[in-house]
Amino acid sequence: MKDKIAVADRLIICNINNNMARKTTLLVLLLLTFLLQSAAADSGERTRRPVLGIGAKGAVAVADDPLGGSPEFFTPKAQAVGALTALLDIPLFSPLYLGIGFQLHGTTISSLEGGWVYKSHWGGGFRLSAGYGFLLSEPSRPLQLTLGANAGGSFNVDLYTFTTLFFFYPGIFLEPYLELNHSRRKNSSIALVLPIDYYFRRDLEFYGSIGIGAVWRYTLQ
Amino acid sequence: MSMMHRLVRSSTPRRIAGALLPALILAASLALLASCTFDLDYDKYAIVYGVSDYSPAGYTDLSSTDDDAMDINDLLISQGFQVVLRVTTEDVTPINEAHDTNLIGDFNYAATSANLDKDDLFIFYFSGHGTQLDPGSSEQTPGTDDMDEAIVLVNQALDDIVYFTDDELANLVRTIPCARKVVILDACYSGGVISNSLEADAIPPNYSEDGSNGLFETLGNAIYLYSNFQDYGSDIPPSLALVIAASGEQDVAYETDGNGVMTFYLLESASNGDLNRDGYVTVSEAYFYIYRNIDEHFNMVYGPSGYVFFPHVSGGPVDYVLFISP
Repeated sequence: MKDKIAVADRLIICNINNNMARKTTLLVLLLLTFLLQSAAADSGERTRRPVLGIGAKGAVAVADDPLGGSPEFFTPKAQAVGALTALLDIPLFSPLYLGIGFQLHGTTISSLEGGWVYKSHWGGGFRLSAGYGFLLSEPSRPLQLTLGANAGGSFNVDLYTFTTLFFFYPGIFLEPYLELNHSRRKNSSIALVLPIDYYFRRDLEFYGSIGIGAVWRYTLQ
Repeated sequence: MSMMHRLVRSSTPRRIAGALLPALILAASLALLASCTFDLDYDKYAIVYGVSDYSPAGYTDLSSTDDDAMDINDLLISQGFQVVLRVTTEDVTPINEAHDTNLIGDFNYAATSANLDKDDLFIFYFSGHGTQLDPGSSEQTPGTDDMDEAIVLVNQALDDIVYFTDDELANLVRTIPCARKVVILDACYSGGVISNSLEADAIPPNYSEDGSNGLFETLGNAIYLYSNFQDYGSDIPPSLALVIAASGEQDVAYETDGNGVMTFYLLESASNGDLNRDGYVTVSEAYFYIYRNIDEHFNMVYGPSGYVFFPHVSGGPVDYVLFISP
């Protein structure tokens, strides 16, 4: 297993070039390789029971280049994002699990610089993901750290603030997390997440966000 | 070993807090940034038309539309706009400046000789009759019809009606070199001028007959629009100009003795419409101020008699500062 991964590493390194998209792919592959190597080194595995969770996150979204607008005038601007999430993780075949979530989110207006803003909007989204986590610490220790990541898609409907206009936009996300669990409270844990979202907006050339959040998880018996 | 556990236990929440803190500070900074005062150093230019005297051309006169134009003129001048005002009225002596030839000439002047550039803000305001013409360009928004909407002017000789369709108006607006353009129409059926190809409106084009759309119908429409989106269609899409329209595509608008109902609340919105208290009134804020007040003070009163309408607004991801709040 490790030999195969080492070969894969060499192949990956040989393919490095200046293309941004390839660099992103490379980073993702390296992350996955790291996860697989770590998993191979540590036989610990996340619990195989369904998990309920609720979480909150803060993020910074960047919007750029509205469709049909002047790209020189409508430059990229940042918006603050807040979100509350409820989720259910269902174990699939080892070591993967399926995540089903619902998110309520809100986005503030951007800066008023230049006399214009990217609009504030808020709404809800259905999130479907696949995830994988593994124990960093020995299972015998009372304090256990789990490292993992969820990756999936989101389907969102938002309302522009101060209007009656709803709009739909899908997205993809990657959520690396670090989960902390104590043996005295086997069923519950806290996870620190670093969500990265990219949205397929038809009226914006780019719309994505990166943030930080916390999730409280409860393992069903 | 137990000491290590205690260390881990006590430091982990601090680490989480330490990681969350920068995000909270960043979010707070953004919120502060959004509420800062900005130097909005650009030119503001407006073309304002009001037509009340239609009878020589065989149409019903309107009572407040010339006053609408003059009041909007005063407001925009107080907001630092350079304004071209045209009215057609018989209040004192017949004046006919708001005719089709002048409209084309005023847009041509703004496009070529007014020294406007992409950084400037442009507004076209019209108060008068609006109508629907059959057939027009088809639109993909659920609930809309395929008729063209038009603003109604009187020709220079005052003896005939001139229809300016939404597509013709879009072509005029397209000549203006500003990146931010706003069209405000206090006229019947004016919602049909808006081309929202990605946004589903909870207020349908014929609100007076159908009432509001249900939530699930609206959400379904939003998904339908996303799935079928090719490009912005005809009329005036948000990429061309943000439109505030007095009524839906199949609804009429109303006026009072002093002003058109929509214009009355638009005038108020300049001083009371800063809904998020950041010192500026955006197009969305002005729209929502009008929407809320028409709902509370017109529809609630006259609704039982069948007189109801709602304003409509353009979608799109960007919004423009319309007024500086006093």
